Amino acid sequence: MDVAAERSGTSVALLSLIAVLLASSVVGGVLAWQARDDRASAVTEQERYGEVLAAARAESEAFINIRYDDAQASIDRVAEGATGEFRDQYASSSERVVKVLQKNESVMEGDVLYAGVVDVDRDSATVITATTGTVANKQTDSQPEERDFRLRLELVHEDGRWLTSALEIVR
Amino acid sequence: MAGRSRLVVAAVLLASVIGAEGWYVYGVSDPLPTAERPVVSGTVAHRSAVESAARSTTEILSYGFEDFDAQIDDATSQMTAPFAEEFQNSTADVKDSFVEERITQEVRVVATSVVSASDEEVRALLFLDQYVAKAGEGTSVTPYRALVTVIRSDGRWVVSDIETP
Repeated sequence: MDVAAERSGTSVALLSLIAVLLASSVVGGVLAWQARDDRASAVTEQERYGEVLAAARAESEAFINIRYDDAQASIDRVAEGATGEFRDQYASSSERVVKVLQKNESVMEGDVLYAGVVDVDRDSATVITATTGTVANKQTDSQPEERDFRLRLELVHEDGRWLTSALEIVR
Repeated sequence: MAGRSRLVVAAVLLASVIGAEGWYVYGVSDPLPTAERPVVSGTVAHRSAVESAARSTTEILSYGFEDFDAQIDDATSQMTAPFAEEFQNSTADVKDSFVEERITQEVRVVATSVVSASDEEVRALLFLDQYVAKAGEGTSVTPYRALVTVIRSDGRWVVSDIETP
């Protein structure tokens, strides 16, 4: 085989290699594009869990931190993260609730220990939270007594925020 | 010759493009859970982990005075070795009173949820009701909650911790 023929043979081999590489890189490009899309939607979904849990924690915390000497503000904080019937309940009964709190000199304090997502989709979610804290009132001689709660919250996504539409104490 | 080196350069460039694509598709490892993104595994995966955590927890925490040791041994098969040891120690402390007072304790799941999840570790918040029956006395029910951690081990989920504040 002469030099020229050898060179052209190498070039053909190189060209074939390049053709294969080109095809592979196109396939790789498509896969990378799909991976990018998949990751972006996974991030959106994963962030939704974080947003839902943060909202449920905040609402649970408002719900278990109610003071008679700051009654209206305490109730407003619950209403702030609420919507629908749950918000209406708070708004319509707030005057009566304030009176009851003041009469009993109720102070409820606490923290959310854990919060977990039961179910979530694009516009609704169910979350449960475990809280720990105390309650003091005239019945306890104003001495704080331990009071832990198991709460279940229904949330809805409205105007870019997760708001609580129902809150239930799980006995 | 100049034409051939251009072909070689092109081949090398294409190979590095493929390498980069491959790394992007397969080489990027999954993120770890954070407060902003507490759940970084797929829904099916973490649901099965939470179900498994709930099932294991009811089995682990339900035992009675009859065959006490065998029940505890059975339960440890669903745990990591360090947690199994911790569990055996804590149940050894209560064994005598269980046998003396003929106590049977059963745990039922009221609600399950996911707190955080990766492909390797899932934390589940469970609401549980504990039914304790003593001979001669009725059954008492205590509501409580547990944060259960399960980790992936040999293709199944095993319990590495149960916190019951």
